Amino acid sequence: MIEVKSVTKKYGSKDNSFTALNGVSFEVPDGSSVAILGKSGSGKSTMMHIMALLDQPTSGSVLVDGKDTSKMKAHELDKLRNEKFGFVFQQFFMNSNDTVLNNVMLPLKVAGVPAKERRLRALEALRSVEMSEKVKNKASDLSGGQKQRVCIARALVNNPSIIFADEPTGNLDTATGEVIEKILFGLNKKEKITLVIVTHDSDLANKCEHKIYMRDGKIVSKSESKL
Amino acid sequence: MKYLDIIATANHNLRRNKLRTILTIVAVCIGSFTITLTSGLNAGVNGYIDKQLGSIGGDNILIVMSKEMASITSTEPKEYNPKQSTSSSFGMTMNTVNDGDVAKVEKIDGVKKVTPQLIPTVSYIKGKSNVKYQLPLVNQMIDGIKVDLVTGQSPDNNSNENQINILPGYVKILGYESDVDAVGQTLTMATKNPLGNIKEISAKIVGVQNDSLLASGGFMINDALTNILYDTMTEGMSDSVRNNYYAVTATLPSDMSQQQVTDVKARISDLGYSVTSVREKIGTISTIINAITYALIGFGAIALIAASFGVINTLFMAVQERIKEIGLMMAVGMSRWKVFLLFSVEALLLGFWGSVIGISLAYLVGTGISNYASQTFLKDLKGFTLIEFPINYLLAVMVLVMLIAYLAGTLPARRAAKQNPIQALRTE
Repeated sequence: MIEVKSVTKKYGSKDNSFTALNGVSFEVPDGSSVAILGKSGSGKSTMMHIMALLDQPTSGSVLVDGKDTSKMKAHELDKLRNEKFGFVFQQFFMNSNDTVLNNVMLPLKVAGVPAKERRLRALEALRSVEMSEKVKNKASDLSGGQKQRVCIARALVNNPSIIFADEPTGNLDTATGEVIEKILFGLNKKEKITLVIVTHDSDLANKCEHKIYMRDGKIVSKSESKL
Repeated sequence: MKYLDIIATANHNLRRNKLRTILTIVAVCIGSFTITLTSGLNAGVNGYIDKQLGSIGGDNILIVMSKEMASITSTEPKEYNPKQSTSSSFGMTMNTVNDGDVAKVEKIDGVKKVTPQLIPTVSYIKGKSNVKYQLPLVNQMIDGIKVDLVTGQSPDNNSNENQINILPGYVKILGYESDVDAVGQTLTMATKNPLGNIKEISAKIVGVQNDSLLASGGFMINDALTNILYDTMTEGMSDSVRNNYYAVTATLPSDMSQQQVTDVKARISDLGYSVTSVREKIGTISTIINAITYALIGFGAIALIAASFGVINTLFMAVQERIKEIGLMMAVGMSRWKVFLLFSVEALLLGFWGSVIGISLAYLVGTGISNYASQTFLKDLKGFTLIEFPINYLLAVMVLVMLIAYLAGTLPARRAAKQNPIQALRTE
């Protein structure tokens, strides 16, 4: 469970500061799916970065499983992200010259998992997104939808409890976008992986249990879909 | 990330831009090649000089001569001094030392033995083949010198027998089958008395010696043979003429410390003599070689510094290219320290490959030059390896190059480690 408690994020100096987030509070229960909605500049991406412990709030705190992350040391945060979180990005961020397998193995390599186990787990993750045939292909040879599936495999490979997805279907056409959505929500249902999706696509957001609408760094409304 | 994985990943990353990596390695390679080759030259020449001097036992053999004699070799202008003691010998006017001087030096505390340098001349030598050969030089054996022998022994000054060492080049022409065969044989030496009459003296070959800087083409002979030759050369001359010497050799105990040797030298100098050690005489060669090789090593160092900028540039480009990758690695939990290490190891690997290739090339080229030299212009100086590569030199060059590469790599590696993962991922 992630608890966001009156988080404020300010950029810039005192005289010329910009408030990206202004006293935001909400909870993400374990196994739920949460969509953070808003236009660009609403602070939704900043919110996700702070929740994913990639950025620190100016004030307020983020609690992961009841532990205050602002009191954690850098290496503890690194470990937490590595073991508990998975990331899916709109722009994929793959090493295009490297093979699909090597790209998926990266989080395990960072974790210090032995090479043999890395391979097995990466192959398993690729199987679950139906990308087994492309294991040895270079990442640059893949289509957008295939790339995003590989990225999901990479996010899955370390058996995370939460996946953060930043506009996961933003670069994809409707048909492939739906395939990706299916995979993500399938994981949420079957594996009980918590899903935090940042998007401005209300169709995608409607598939999530919780919706948080943001504007100018504040939560405008929260709603729960009855699925 | 495990350390082994960091090394493997760094190595893999270097291969991503092969041309850039190769060019950087070439730059590092040029620097290490130059440094290895020149330090090898330094090691070779100094090693040979040390071998020559080491056999003498350091500084404990001193050459004592009159101040005036010593100044003959100097080129400074000198005012004429009518009081200078001169002796006329062999048609030359010389400022010599005599038996009185020998006695004075002998009395000095710390001096073990004083031997006048008699400089005998030999008209010819003749061996089993019965053909007469000119002999440019004979050298008086000084106790404490270890002659660089091919076989046999060095001449013994305590023996009453006439003993001589010959050079390898003379073995065959004097009529002996091999170096070993020559040892124990007797040859004939001839010298002229002051009236010009040739007198033949027989001497036993006790060993075959390598030519060296110190021997400078001369045969080593013992005191007994030296005295007979000198007596013949000065036959019928008055003692006042006979007992004048160009210089005397003062031998000090071999276990003397550097300071004690300096003290003895000061005492001899206080009596009004010029005194130099054999090391000082030969040491000048060493000084010149050092000066030349240090200058060359300096060039090598400049090449390495230039190469280190190549390393910096290469890695800055790599950091810029892989900025999103760095961001992603950090996002999935890679620590800043490991990111720093990843790029530092890349720099170390550039240094490693550059130095390994540079050192190997220098080794091949140096060994080639060295072999060519010892077959041609250094043929007569047996045991002289022009360029030597002691393993500790090679390792030192490698460590130095890798250290420079590492230091160069810390700048880009720091930049990589300082990235903010979000900003890195956002970079266009």
